[in-house]
Amino acid sequence: MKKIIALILCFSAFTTYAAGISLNEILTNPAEYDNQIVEVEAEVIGDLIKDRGGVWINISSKETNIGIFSQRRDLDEIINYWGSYRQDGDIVRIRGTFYSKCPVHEERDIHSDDIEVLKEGAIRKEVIAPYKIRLAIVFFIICLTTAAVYFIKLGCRKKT
Amino acid sequence: MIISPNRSDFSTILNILGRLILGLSAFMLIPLAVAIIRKETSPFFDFFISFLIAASIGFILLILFPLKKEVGWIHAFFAVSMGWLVSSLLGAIPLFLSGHFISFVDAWFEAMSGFATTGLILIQDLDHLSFSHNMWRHLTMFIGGQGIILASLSVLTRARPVAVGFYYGEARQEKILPNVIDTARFIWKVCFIYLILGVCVFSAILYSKGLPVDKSLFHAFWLFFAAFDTGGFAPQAQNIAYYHSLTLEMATVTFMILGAMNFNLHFWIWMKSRREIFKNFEIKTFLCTFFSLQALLYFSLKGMGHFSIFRKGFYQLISAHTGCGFSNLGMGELSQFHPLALISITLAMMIGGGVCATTGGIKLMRLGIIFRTFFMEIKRWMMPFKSVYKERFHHLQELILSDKRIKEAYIFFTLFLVTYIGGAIIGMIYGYQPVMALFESVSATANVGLSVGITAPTMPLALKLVYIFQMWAGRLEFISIFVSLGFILTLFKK
Repeated sequence: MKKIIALILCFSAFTTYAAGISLNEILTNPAEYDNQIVEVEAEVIGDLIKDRGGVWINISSKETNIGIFSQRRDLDEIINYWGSYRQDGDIVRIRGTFYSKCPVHEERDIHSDDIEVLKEGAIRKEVIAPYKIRLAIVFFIICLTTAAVYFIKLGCRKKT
Repeated sequence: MIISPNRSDFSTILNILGRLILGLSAFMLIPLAVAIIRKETSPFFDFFISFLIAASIGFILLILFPLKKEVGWIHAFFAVSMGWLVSSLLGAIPLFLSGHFISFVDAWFEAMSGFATTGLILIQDLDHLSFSHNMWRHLTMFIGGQGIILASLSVLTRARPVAVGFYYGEARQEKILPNVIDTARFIWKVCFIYLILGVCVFSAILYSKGLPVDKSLFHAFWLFFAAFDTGGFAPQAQNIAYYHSLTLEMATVTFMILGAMNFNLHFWIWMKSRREIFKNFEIKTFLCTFFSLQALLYFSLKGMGHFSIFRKGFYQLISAHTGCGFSNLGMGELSQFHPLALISITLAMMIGGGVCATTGGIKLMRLGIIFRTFFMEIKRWMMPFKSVYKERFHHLQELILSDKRIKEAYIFFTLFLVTYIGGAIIGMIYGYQPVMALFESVSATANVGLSVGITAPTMPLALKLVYIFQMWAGRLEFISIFVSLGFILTLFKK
């Protein structure tokens, strides 16, 4: 039943088409874009999340996030990089219907019609700042010295 | 006669602080181990440096300030209030080194929010944060939920009569077992049993949603820490909404409620009588306040549809009432709620959960006592002039509503109310709308963590400091802070 409702919603969405708007603009004015076809560009983050009738991906753009529902279960074949500590996610363009209050999922989401990878993500290079190494050495010496003094003092006190 | 402190008193306090800091440094080894396991090199250095700084300070304090006096209540109270400040400052170091905060104050805010089990966040780009930093963020809630000082001391020292001072100093009103250290250990046992249960449940749900095994396990740990310790942090910026799972939301509700329940009640149900849950005064108060506020919320969200009200309204309300702060709403959705809905959530946050639990706020017991006192007064006026009347209530046993209990309830009620309103006024001075300013102020003081958007890296610095103070004072329930202030003031009287 939910599948049918989702299909109907996808195809009967309001004909107004808002292209190239920022995610922040949509989320700060949800009433304006409710039930409209929107096109957003953002980074894919996290994981592919399974759900009844499709999958979820989460996208992020300038500290703004939203869940995208898609009926395509093969999204992990299209998206190669998922944003995390280790990697920058693929930048995707999503075209779909924005729901301020989705009647199927009871969430604020976008039901995607089309997902296109604009820019492939990349593995993030871990950079260790030189000051961190210097700090670690300095505090290692301090910690070792203080611990030694403390345990010597403790030993002396026990003897007396 | 008020005790006037001398040099040996300060030496004793600093010695306790040294032990506490050493305990805290030991906890930092957990994220350090995660950094090694996950091969996160830069975070490894963040935690290694923080561990070394904390351990060095701990050892220096122990060397320079020996225990010169038998530890008394005044030392315990002072050490508790200072201990939470020092812990949050040291706990902020690895967070600041991560590069996800625009200033050290922001990292301090986040650390205090974690230790106080609040859940308000100022972190940037959370979705790219390392596993080890996320482990630390969530671990601070677990440590804070148990009570930093008692958590450290129950591991480091043997039972001493003064442990009671630390126990009460960390805003726990009831002992479960005659010995406070045994009580702390019982709380730890309860937590570990629920931890195993919680991790199994959460990881199974997350794995079924398609997350890899290792990630499911880590997320399960973090969600448990945040739910049971009523903290409200989540590893992703969308909080619980990231998972798009009603099943997970319901599981978090269960652990939120368990965390908000009085640990004494857990003990009673486990060891003595399960019927207690039906008779308990706090549970009855909770049901009464929760359903009243749910009704208010229902009418304010009327246009949303029944299931939507349940999914969005119920979840936010239970999250607020238990002091957890998890949210399954999209960005900016909460601030777009009807003002009446925001007021009902604010009221739920103000009340909080049970005494001797991990929640903040006025607490169910005190609110129940205040209501009972009101009805008791009405009954008194309706009785013959010379009659003596005492109200009773059931909390583990039959108790008389004594004047001492009533006085305590009113003192804490007033203190919380003044802080809630004070924070709201400061928020309004900075130009925020009254309802929003009150919401955020209550959320910080009652250690909830729901936000209508005021808490952001761009908010004024003074407001960040005000919220840090509110989280700290609200978590310790003011008394140990006032005692410490009194302790300092006596120095100037000399």
